[in-house]
Amino acid sequence: MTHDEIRSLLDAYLDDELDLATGLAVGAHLQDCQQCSAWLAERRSMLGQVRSAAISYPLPAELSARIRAQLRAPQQRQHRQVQWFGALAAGVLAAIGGFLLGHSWPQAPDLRAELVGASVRALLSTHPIDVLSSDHHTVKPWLSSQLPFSPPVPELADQGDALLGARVDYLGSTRVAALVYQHGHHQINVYVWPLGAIDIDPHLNTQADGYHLMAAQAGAFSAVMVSDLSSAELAAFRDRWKATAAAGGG
Amino acid sequence: MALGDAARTRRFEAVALPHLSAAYNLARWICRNEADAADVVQEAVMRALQYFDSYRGGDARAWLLQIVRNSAHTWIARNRFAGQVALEDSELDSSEADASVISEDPMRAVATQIEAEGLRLAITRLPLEQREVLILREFEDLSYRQIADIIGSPIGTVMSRLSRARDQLAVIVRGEQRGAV
Repeated sequence: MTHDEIRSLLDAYLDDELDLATGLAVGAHLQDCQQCSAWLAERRSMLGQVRSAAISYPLPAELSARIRAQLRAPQQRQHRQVQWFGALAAGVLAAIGGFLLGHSWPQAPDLRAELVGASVRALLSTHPIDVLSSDHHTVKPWLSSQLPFSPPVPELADQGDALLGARVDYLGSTRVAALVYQHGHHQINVYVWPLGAIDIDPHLNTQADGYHLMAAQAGAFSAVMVSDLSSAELAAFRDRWKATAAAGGG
Repeated sequence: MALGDAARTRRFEAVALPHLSAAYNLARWICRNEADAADVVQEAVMRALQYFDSYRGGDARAWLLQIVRNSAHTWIARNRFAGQVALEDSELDSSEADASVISEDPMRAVATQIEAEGLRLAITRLPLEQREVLILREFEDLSYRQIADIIGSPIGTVMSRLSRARDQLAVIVRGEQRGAV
């Protein structure tokens, strides 16, 4: 092998990636060639610096916790869903069923019960939010990675509604995005799914079990806001959310 | 079925989670910012869980890193398409400014830090295809064969990219040593 050929193999030699015969040939050349052995020494020293410079990025503890929680979350939620959902839906329906059924609801009552149930679960849970971030550049991609759709995630902080984060939730067997906002002392859960995935009256504006529920449509998505905010405040929130979502904010 | 899922997830955790640090480090170097790297790793882990059945034993770290690497590339392609690459440049500018401020400081105590920051900046500036190969080799100590599998290219490509990356770093390091004396 020529000097130039050897030279081109020195990195692989240093990494111990050459086959035995080639390695021996390079070793023999290094004995005789001052230039190559100096080059190799400098290379070794430079790589030593790189390795000892401690410039790896440490894993953020928050990310590790988030991933561990997420690995457990979907299953637990499904299991919880089965156990809780029956109980909750039955409870909610038993408590307010007569009231609900006495009115001419445009929707099957169980969707409302589910929405309220999901919100109650979220409030009771120690882990109501899977991705904790006020930045829709973080929340939106995370949701896209969990769901077969990419929901709008409007940022409304400048209008008094702080985005706390999001989670994936189930309404019946449909996976939906749940955005969590804070307005004053109240939390607002916004459930979002592609139009038609779950049928809902786009003008839904009702209450159940102390919660107000209001529907909105933003582009190709249906949304329902659930909160213990007053009806007027929630309506104002819905309008802000809808306007920002429609304007492409998130 | 549900129990099977839980057991499968536990098995997955035992295989994959020990390599979370390596996964994050790789994503962080590829994406060049913290928030994107975190999302990429999270997405990659969920994807890995989904494809866990395709894991045939062997080096779990290399297996996970391959998924992380592919997720990171998908991420970059997606953001580039949406015209959202501005972040990188502003971040680079600020670290460049920091480096120049520090390097005017004559104190020897900061010399190591300058060196580390200089190296970090130099690696950050390498083209993506060289950067990822360098990280997999110098920080993860993977073999050429493993790196070739991860990036989906022949070993010869790994060799030449690695050599070019090291050549560039050597230039920087040499320049700094000259400047520091």
